[in-house]
Amino acid sequence: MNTSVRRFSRNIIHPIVLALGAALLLAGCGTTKDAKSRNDIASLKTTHLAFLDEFTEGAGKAWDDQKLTTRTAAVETEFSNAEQYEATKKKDARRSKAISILHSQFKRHAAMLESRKAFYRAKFAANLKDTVTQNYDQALRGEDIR
Amino acid sequence: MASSFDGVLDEIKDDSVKAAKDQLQSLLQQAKADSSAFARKNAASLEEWIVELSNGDLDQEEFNELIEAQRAAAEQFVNTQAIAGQARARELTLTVLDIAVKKIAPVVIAAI
Repeated sequence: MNTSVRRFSRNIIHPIVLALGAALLLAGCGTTKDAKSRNDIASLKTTHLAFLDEFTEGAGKAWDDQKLTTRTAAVETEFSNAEQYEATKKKDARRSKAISILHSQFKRHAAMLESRKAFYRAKFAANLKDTVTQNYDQALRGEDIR
Repeated sequence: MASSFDGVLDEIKDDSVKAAKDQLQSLLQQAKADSSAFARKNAASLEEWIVELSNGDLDQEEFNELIEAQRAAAEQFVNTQAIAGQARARELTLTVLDIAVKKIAPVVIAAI
């Protein structure tokens, strides 16, 4: 190989090799960004907050056990889909923990409604929604800082 | 009936929780001065809920549920921190919530 070809190789190929190496390293460390995972968390946030709104006291609302069962099952399906997607990929402990925390929280909220068989009071629901929003925002921040 | 968090704490005369009160006040002051918006918000929410519990605006189950929700958010917050910062993040959020729910809330509830 003559000198000019060697210099070309050093200037062009070497940075590419470095970039590929960095990409492989990031893929291997298990904390890479994933747009679908982030979208799943954002979508769950909207769904969870809408669920809390739906089961907060308000004019003209009447308690319906069947409605709670149906809505809870729909949210559970959305959580299951997000968890199944994560299970298909390389394990990411932080993301798995984040989704697990969110899911456990939803289960508590559904269980509280199931046990009280009454809508959330407005004052409590406002505080709860604020806290749930913080929880999802932290999970989304965890995705953004990867 | 107290209208402020300090007022609620002042009404607690039980010596057995004095150490817990002092620790809670110290951690809350540190949390409110922390650079993390989450730690500051966590402290403010806790103070607000204890006042609402004392005033009867929240019942015991609602208060406990809010603490559990905030604990979940705090775990999420700690989960986003670098390993080196996790112990401090935990102390300013989860430890504060633990002291409030285990030591302070029972006395507040008993006084209602």
